[in-house]
Amino acid sequence: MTINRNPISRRQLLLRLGALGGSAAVYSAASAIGLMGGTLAAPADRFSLRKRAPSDTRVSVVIIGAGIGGLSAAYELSRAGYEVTILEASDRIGGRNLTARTGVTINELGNTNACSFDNDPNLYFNCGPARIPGHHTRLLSYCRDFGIELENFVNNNPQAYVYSDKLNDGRPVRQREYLADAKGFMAEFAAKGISQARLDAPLSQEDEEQLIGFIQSFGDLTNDMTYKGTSRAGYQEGGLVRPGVVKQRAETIDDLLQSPYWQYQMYFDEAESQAPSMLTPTGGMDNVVNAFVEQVGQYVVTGAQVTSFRVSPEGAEVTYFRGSTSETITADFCLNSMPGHLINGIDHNLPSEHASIVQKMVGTKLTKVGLQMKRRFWEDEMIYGGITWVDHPLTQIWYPSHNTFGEKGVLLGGYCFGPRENDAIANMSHADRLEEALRLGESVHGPAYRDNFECGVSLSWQNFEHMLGCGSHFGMQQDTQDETTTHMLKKKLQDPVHDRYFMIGDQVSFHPGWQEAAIAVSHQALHRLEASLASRRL
Amino acid sequence: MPFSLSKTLGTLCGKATGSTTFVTLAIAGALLATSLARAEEAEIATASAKPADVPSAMESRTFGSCITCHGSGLKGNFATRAPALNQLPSWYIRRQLESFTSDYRGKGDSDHYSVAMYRMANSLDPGALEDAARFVESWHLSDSPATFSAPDEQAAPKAAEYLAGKGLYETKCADCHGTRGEGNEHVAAPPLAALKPWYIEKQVQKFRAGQRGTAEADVYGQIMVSAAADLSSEDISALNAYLSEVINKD
Repeated sequence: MTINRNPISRRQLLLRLGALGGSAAVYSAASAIGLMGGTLAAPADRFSLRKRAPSDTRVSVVIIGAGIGGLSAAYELSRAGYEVTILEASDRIGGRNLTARTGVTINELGNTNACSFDNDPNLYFNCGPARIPGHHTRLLSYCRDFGIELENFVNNNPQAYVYSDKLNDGRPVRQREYLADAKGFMAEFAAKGISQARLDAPLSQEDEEQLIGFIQSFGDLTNDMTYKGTSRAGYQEGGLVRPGVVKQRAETIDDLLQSPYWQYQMYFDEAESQAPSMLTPTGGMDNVVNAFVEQVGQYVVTGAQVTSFRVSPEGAEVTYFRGSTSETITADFCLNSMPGHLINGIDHNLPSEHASIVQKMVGTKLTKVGLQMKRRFWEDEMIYGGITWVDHPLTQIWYPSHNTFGEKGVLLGGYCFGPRENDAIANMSHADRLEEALRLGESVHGPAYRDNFECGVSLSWQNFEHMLGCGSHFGMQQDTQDETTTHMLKKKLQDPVHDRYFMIGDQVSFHPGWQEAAIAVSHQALHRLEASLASRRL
Repeated sequence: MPFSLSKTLGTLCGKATGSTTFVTLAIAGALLATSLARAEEAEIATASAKPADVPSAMESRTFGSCITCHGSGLKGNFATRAPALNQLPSWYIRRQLESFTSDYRGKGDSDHYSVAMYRMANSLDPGALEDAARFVESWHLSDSPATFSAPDEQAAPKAAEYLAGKGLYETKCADCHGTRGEGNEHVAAPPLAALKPWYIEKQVQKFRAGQRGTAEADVYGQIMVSAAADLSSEDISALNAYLSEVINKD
């Protein structure tokens, strides 16, 4: 039997819809039938608010801070028909999502530096977020909806180095060598421990064979269960047309222990948020900001420095400086992403259970250095993306994942996130930081590092204008040290005040320092805001 | 709405690449038209008021940054370890800005907050420094100097620590800083009544540790170094107990 339903083409369908429902109908239908390239159908759990009908009471929301938390909240609110105003203290939108490229100024207080990278789309440096793990579904769904082009980001590369002046006589070691040796030695220990394990938990013969097999393959041990080196570390020579000669292993595990690599760096890419495969927007992370600005840029008031706010059961009143005038805005709701340590410095009427927690917050320390190199000399060393770990306050060197074999490249020349190590670099002038990064790079890569250096940017987020921290966290006071306490404090900060005020941003999340967390917190606040409206029958 | 739409959109469109972005832009355009209409209709109450003494220098990002650290009204912020400036006399504000730019303060300090102020002050040219001083002065709470409030000694028996601190203050501090914490310009002693106890304690520790007041040209700083050298940790704790009672908590 043939069914003839007078099929209409997809193009015809869209034309008919256009006549009926205008461009919005065409757009949503086109998305639904998969014609919009990057804008695939949204996953079922995609966040959305109930759309306000024209007959509904108008509801206004003032958002403090135009970082990813504020922008994503504004986007959802404006789509649902709320009136939105975002107050942003800086003259730049994006918060910590900042990409340095030619012409960009890094507004670190007392260390302002201008980015003089070449005018080339490949030469940029993500000063804040730089990578997106696959489980950050909220951020990725915005990238998909906005059509932001993504590329793979190489976060871990065993071909990159471990460097410590105490390891291998101060010569860099490929991470694959370190990993192979570490597993080999550990497997040997495990093999020796088997007899004890047999006593503690009697094993069947089959179990025992399997366990021995596992240990042997874990460390690539020989049949007599000793570690003699492995091709996993790479060959010393040969391996193509001539047989490969396995590299000499480290003499003892003590040699490996001289470097702090084993402490956490060795496993860092096993963390869910650091594991492959990771993604990054092609051309810079600020493409995320630009996409949000396309949607909600018209609601952002830049250069608006909030100096006080009042919250009541009726709504919120926010006062800010802009230029030489002071202005006050009232709204039904307030979402505040201002760092906690800065909230403490302004006039507010938060109830004491909120205010006393905010008082315990301090700016998080984080320093980054970016270096433009005129030649991609690391590619001569067979390194394409990834991270070298160094036993130095600057901690890391990153190699670009994009533009392989291009002419120039921008390296991350240092990334300090340890609170103590940070001061050593943060307290330096910009010029001194660059010099320190070059000195370190030379000890890993030799003279090519300095010879190819052209210019650089540096920033310590703890000194960054209008932020004074890479987020805000509970400091090392005695009463906030343990995890249970900080968990409780964060949960309290997430609680709305008078059902009208919500503290947002990654600062109140359990995944600080990630855009995904800022978005998740905003989404939670918006759901609560919606519930608050429903309870008032608005 | 009082902000530049065209500037924001201009930046945006300049960066748009690729066909999907083009589609998104077109849609954004459609959305924009509706949202602008909505924004025009919106009656978000906006009251405009210019506080009396704010210099036009507020236009500059520099002075907004004073507020970022030192808090609104420059009332200080413990969370950013920034002292209250709104009751300090002009001569003291100027002297401190000078001490940061003359490397008396902050340089090589182990305290990163202090280094931050050192870098900030040194990033300003002399004209901007003068503007900064005027900006701070514009926030003065009152023309009369801050003084200690008299604690109600009868209300409750005071702890031994408070009494020890009171005695120490009267014998070791009051000669320069004044019996009521009002300060003395002639010996460059700041009004302690204008500062917070946590900040005073931190500075005394710095004078003791050789992180402040040791520069050869910093004559008054050296006086404070020798004064602080006499104080034990218990003394400092006692002084803190006393100052916490007599300094206005607001």
